[in-house]
Amino acid sequence: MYAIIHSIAPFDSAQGTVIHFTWSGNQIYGVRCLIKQNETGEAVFDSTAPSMKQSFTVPVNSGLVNGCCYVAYITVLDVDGNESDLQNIGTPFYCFSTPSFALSIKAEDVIRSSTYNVTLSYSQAELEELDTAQITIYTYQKTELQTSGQLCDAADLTFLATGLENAKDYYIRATGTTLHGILLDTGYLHFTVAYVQNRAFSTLETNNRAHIGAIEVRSNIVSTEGKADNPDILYLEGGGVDLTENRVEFDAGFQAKGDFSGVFRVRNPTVNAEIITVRDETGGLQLHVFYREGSYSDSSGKRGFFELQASFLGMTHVRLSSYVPVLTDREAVLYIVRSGLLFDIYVLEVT
Amino acid sequence: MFTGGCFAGDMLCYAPTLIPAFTLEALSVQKAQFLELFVTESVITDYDGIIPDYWTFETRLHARFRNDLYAGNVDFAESTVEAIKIKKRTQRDTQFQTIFERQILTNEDFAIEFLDYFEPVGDIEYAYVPVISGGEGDYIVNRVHSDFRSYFCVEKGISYPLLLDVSTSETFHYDAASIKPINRKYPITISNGCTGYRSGSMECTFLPLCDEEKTITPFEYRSRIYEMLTNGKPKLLKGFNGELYMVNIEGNIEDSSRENVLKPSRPFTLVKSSFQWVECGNAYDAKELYYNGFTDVKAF
Repeated sequence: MYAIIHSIAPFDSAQGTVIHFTWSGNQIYGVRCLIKQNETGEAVFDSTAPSMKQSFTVPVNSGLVNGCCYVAYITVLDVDGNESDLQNIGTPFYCFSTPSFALSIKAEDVIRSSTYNVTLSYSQAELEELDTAQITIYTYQKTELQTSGQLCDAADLTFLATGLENAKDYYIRATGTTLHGILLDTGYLHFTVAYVQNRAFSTLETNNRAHIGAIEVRSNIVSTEGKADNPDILYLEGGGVDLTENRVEFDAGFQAKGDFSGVFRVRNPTVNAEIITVRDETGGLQLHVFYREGSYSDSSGKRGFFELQASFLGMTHVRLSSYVPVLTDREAVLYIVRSGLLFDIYVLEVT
Repeated sequence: MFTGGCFAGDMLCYAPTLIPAFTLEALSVQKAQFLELFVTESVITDYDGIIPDYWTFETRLHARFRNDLYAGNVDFAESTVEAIKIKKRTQRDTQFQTIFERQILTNEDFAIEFLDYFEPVGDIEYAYVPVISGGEGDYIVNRVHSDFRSYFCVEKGISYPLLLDVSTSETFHYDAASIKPINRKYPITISNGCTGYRSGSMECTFLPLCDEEKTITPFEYRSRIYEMLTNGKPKLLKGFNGELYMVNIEGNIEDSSRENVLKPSRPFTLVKSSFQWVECGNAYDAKELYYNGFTDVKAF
């Protein structure tokens, strides 16, 4: 008679495991565990431990190596030291290093958005492949709220969590299994959502139309991309673009009707050069903004200013900004405002 | 100069040059370093140097030059986007499903406006998804609570409310049978296959409402609905309790009861119509919606 060994889940040899078995003979006084390499049949672990339980603990220093397949045999000893039969066929199992299985959301994180793209990372030292994984979001009461379904592509373990409400607590948990059956689980990770409440404007507007039983879906997408004369664009560190020797035009997707305001953060403008041009659809009406420098009777030394020229049918409306220090390596915020039938220009020095 | 002021050409002169209202179509910048551009249709009066970091309905352009020249409220343009998809996720779905797709040829193609009649009651999420190099870009998601107070019978391009005197019944078909062998106390239940569908009947008074009342008679309105019900195409039947079924109409349509209303201005007959339906597919599955002619979207 021999003990019936239960299936052995893959485990990390650095952590050991407990092998369970079923024995229906005499009272157990000792358990012997024999582990052989699957390929060669060479015994790599043979140990007997006094025990009355139907289990055997494989210790940390068992000599097993991660990444290998082994076969386990169990015999039991009774009070007189009589050993049970060895199984004809041992129970195979794998040893693998503990995989890395983690979500991009850590416990106690604060999410600043109602929508969050959750990423799950998986890696294993012996290249054990991931079989499936699943990401689930729970309410604070641990009721399932959203789930990714079965994710099979280890290269794209992502899930878009949506509809997260401001000032609410949630849990997220990822579970999975590897190809050889290692169970993966991140456990419940608590996180909080806190964001500024949605404003009225939304790039995707959805309205319930109850009387016709439909949802109106409307996009407020504004897609505008500037076109540069010279495609070798020199961007500035921290945001910005150097157009000293280049020009960028925003045309497709850009339109403003009637009154408007333009705000420009500008630095190092070229003296006496036209730095901003605005035109209407026909080109009949144009705005030109120039940067000037000079010493004037009311400028208290050399100063800079901006000049706006609005041309229409041969007539030109001219406005000058107030003085600012010379804008060499200095930044200024320039305002151009059209209100009614007139323009105004204002410049603010950034200190 | 005239008493210290200009006659023309300046804002504060005696006869300033007035510039008519026009539409800005193009803005170009050059000969300087630009850190940020912002254009809005509202008139700014507070020159505090702060540029809002959020879009409003008045914002027209906002360029931050973060290693790109995007100046809209999305980081894509028609030069990079092949198509855009509208995806939907109901409370029953784990994944978004495509319900609308459009190829992007010009900048105007980004503007989407349509009505989704195929949604049930409950929270529904819609996503605006750009398709870039064959892959999907970032999702722009919004949620809406769908709510309505009557039943609707919906087909592609048409939807009729089932509003007045509605009476329904439903049967869930499991179709298991019991046999009673000899010398056995309990019968044996046989359940072959995985049958699980609904059928039912619906009774309703069809009357044109509000704006339609003046242009169509109740008889014509009813006939139009009968034609829709009997055109052989699958329908979506949805109700305010959360029901959403893809159904076929079976049997006949009956005018079960008639009641003449002798209204002095316009006498008419109240007719209760009834029909039977049987479920024919999954109304939540984008593929089945396509194969049954509800949508034109092939990429799910």
